Amino acid sequence: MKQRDDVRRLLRWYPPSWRARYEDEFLVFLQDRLEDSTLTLRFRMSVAVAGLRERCYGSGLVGARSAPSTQRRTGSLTVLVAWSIMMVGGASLVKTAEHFSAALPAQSPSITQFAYSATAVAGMVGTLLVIVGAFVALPGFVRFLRAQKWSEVRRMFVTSLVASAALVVSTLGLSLWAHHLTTAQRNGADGAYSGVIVAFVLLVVVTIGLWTSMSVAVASRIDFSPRELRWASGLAIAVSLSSILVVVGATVWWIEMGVHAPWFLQGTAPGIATSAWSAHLVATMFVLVLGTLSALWGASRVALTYGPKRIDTQ
Amino acid sequence: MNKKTSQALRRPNDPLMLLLTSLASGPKHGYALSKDVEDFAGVTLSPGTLYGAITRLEELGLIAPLEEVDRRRPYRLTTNGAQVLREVTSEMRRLADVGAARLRLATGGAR
Repeated sequence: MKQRDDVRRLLRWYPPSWRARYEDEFLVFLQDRLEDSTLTLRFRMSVAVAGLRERCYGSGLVGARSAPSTQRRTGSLTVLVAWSIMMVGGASLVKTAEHFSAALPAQSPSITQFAYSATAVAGMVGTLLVIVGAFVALPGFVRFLRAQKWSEVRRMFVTSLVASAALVVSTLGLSLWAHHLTTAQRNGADGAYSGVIVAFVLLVVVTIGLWTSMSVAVASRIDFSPRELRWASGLAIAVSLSSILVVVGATVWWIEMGVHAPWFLQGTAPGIATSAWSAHLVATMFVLVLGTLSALWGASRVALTYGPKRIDTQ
Repeated sequence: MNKKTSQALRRPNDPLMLLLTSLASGPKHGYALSKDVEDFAGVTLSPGTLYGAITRLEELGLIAPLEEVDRRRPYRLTTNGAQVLREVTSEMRRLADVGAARLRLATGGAR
């Protein structure tokens, strides 16, 4: 009995549409197979991986088995998720680069400032495009509400709202606390404050993640019109281009800072010869590159649907 | 059929090819298919791979489901599936013949 429940649970890896078609016979097949063998980790992994594979193909994230409209929607949503990752990386870059101009020697070339400004502008443009995307999705969202599907995402909405409220409260609390600390204490000398800052950053990441999941859950349930999807596709491609600009700008800024003021990147006293490979910046760049690659993947999924007519499903 | 699927079918141990070959001798359900493939090819298809291949073949119209028997759904080869299997096996036979002929030349006809 327990084994049968375990097997049934395994099928959750598969998309609902696949389960609707194959679940019953697949369960019987698995039970037949389990008369010869036990439910090993390898067996479980095989089913889980195959289920995820079906999900990826069915949603249009990979392959060309799904309808172009599904692929466009998934591609656009992938870019939305990618932009959330970019926001996390971008916030980290802004924190790292705080007051960097003051650290630059007077005779250093203006390319450092230009690269940072270009990064910031690309970031703002990308965010603006995402907001335009939200407006494009608005009519679909109204249809979603009219179809009384809100209850399907209510719990996610409440969780996101609670996380946001916690974020607002902790931002206020941290600001008040920070006013009573010296610059040195704010920059790592106070262990308790540093610990709370780490927790705060985690809360920011979780909140962004929750709202993104909520947006994806809602958008996945909306039947977008071809016109809305065309707009979303165009915006997704534009956002992915913004991501590229952010990474290029941030890289140039990093290189220039490494040449002219590496001590700033390491947080050491000015003039001390040090490496430009700051762990924080490496992690930040990793997040930005991850976001950009995800955005490019989503944009390529969208762009492929506008290519030569596909003749098959695989 | 796209290039990727077509190429996959030309690999003798590809799950799609193995299932088409198995169904050539008559309709079978999932468990019977996996047992038959094990018998004639010595390949154990994992549950995920087997049903992934069944899903794919059904989407391609190469196999079709029949009425359930005791909760087990058998599948049969479609006309299109039989045609694809014929073409692929002919191609494989042609390649095997070329290989065998060249081997005979390389060894001077001696075995």
